[in-house]
Amino acid sequence: MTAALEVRDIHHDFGGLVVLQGVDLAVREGERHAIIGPNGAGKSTLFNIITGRLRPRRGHVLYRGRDITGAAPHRVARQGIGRSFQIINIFPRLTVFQNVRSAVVSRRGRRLDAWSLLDRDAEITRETEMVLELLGLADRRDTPASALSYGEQRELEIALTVAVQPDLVLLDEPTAGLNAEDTRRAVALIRRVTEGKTLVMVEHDMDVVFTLADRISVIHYGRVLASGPPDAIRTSEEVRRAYLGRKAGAAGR
Amino acid sequence: MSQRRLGMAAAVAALYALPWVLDTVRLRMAIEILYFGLFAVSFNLLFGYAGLLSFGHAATFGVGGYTLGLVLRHVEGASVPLALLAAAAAGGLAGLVIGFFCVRLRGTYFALLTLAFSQFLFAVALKWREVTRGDDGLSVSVPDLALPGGLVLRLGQAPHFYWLALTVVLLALGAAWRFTRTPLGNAVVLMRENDERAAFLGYNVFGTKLIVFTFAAVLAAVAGALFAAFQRLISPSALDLPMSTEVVFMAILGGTGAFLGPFLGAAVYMLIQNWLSEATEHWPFFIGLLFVLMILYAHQGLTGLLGRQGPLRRRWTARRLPAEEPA
Amino acid sequence: MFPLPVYATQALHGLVNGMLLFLVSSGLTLVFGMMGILNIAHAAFYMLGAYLAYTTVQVTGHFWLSLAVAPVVVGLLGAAVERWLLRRTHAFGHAYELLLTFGLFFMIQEAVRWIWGNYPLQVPVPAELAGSVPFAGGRYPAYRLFILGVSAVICLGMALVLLRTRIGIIIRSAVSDAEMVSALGVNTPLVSLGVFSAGSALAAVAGVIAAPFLQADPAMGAGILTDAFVVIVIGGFGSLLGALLASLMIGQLQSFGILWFPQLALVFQFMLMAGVLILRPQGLFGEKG
Repeated sequence: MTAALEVRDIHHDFGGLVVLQGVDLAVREGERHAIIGPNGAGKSTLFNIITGRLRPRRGHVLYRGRDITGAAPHRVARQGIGRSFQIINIFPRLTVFQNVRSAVVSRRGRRLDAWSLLDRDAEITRETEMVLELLGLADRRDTPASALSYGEQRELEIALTVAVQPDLVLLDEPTAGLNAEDTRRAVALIRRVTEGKTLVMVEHDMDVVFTLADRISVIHYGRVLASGPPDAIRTSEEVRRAYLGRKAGAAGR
Repeated sequence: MSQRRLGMAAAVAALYALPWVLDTVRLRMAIEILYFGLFAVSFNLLFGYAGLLSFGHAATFGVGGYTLGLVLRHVEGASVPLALLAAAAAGGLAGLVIGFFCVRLRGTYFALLTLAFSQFLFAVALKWREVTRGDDGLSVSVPDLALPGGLVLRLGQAPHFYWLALTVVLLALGAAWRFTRTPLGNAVVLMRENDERAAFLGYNVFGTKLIVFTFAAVLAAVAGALFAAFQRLISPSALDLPMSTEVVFMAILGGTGAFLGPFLGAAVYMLIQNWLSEATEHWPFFIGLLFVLMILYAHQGLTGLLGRQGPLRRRWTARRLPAEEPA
Repeated sequence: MFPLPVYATQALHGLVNGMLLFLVSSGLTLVFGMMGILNIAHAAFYMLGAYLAYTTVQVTGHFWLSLAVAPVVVGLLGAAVERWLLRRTHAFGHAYELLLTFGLFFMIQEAVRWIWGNYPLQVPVPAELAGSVPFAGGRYPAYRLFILGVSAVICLGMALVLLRTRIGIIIRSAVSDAEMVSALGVNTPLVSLGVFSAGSALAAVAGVIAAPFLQADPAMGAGILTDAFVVIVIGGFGSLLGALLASLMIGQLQSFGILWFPQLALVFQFMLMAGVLILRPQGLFGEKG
């Protein structure tokens, strides 16, 4: 079977600092795939390469068999790939509604529509409100994004990502900085909104990873150390040595 | 809704009736306010909406002026509307070319590159004497305009020119206002707010910025063409830095957060400048002082000041933005 | 074609003008690199320096005294601008900081015209340097060579301060990462104040030195403004070495441009600037960002 997303032999460095040295990864259609690894292992760099923010020094990214290596971010997005960001990346002075509506406009391919009046477009408004409903942000509809709480901004970040209805969703640390309660909500939310889609996520919280993921890849020193179902990863001696052991020790907080 | 339409119709009717109310001196100022207002609104499509601070917006203003002048001079039987259309087209073309190079850059870099292009065009206008007459400028003779129904606008007379300018400016402002409310206009605001995020939602950042740059150039060229037709002269100063900076003053003064803010700014600026320059020859000092004070205490401009909570807010603001967040 | 000595003289002209331009743009570059602000008022500070030189000579009869008076006065003015105006504008973003300095430029420029009149004022060349020296078969004004010398000394002095002293290290690291420097316990607001003030003082020094050469002219601020912009764009925003090279390039370009293509002299530098921005937006020596 063909993979939804395939990453082949990706190399990257920043001014001599080698970050990725030959990453291979295959994500199947419809699976929830988590990428874990210590800080600085190159996870976010890999995300940036997949979504066109960076062009790798070497290697290829294939989406449904098509080479998208180094394509401009908006072209990658139009293929049906949506991503969220580790650091909140929204439209701060627009309302929650205007934020999400901008994504809906893009999904409907109306980005260049220079004639119709956006405020009067009932279909776009309805679809936007559906997304807000789904994400539980409906009661914050007219709040400027910058006035939301941190947890709500995280939700808006995810809302923007899924409002373009991507087939492949990439979430970069969707629970970063959230407390236990908000994290639980975020997990439920992610499960709900990625139903039937392919999900790739970078995540540090092992509870989240093992709750959500069908498969896990461990990146270590710029390479994929192991890739497999959660149980295999949990019991892998190699992974334990490199990463989980330390993390498990630290997770006893 | 219909009440609002009624109000607008009344306002437009009142504007058309101005020549019966104002004396010639004031009417001439009203005409200047019209085209500088359009110029300032077009600047603000870039600055207030797209977040692109241009220091060379006079470039396309001047291109419009020169195009009108050259068309009326060299094209046999050319009418003013034809010359205005030609000016708009030339402005659009210039905007497309300049924008192609400029919109890839951000912030100060963008400001300086637009400045470089306008200075380049300024130098061309100054040196290409065969076409532009250099420093002396190109004198423009404006033919009368025959309207359907046997009416003739004698554009040498202030009231007639006013009606033409008002019609053109209202049409241009209407188009610009409509543009800001469309999905594409919304995309332009995304460029200001966070163009990177917009790209990951599928928006073509370069394309969107190039479109708004070109559109603003077309409007600026129309304003410049009216300027040239009214002054009966177009000279390199129309492309020079002071022209580019005056429009920045106007926009900031009126408020960049509202669609008509810059238009209001242009009107207030003309009035203040008129009044100051009669009071003192050192009026630029006070204009500078006013500008500095505005930025320190009211960088949202007059419209931001007037409409913080009042009923004006909804009328004047293009989209209900919350007060700017300190980043 | 021209005889060889003409080239030599033009080249020297270009060098003198280029170094003077560097003196103006170095302060601008320093401030931009450190604070991210393109200080348009810098050109007005330069003009103010020239007029202060005029007044100092008028009042005291000593040109050299103005080399102390002008930088102190303008440096204090710069400090006041940073402390009471720019710092308040910071929250609105760089565009408004730029616009604020722009408004200040207009104010100072017009204030100068108000105080000193809207016509050029002659500042006499100090007697010690009034003569000329033999050069390339002709003679060359000694004062222009003095400009060259002073600019070179200041250039070296800046390099020494930036490369060898503790404050230089702090400034250089603040250029690359202001937050980190702040986290290390350095008083960044104070460094900003100092750098802005020093940059303004440098502009005044350039104005003083330029005065006997170019006169104190009400249009000199606007004139130097675009040239200095071109220099920092070509050199790379915030790069002093780039500013030096770009200044020398522009100096020669203007010198020989006038010789060969008088029609296009104005156009050349903007074409060069546009070319650099298009091909290498960060400038010759600027860092990408």
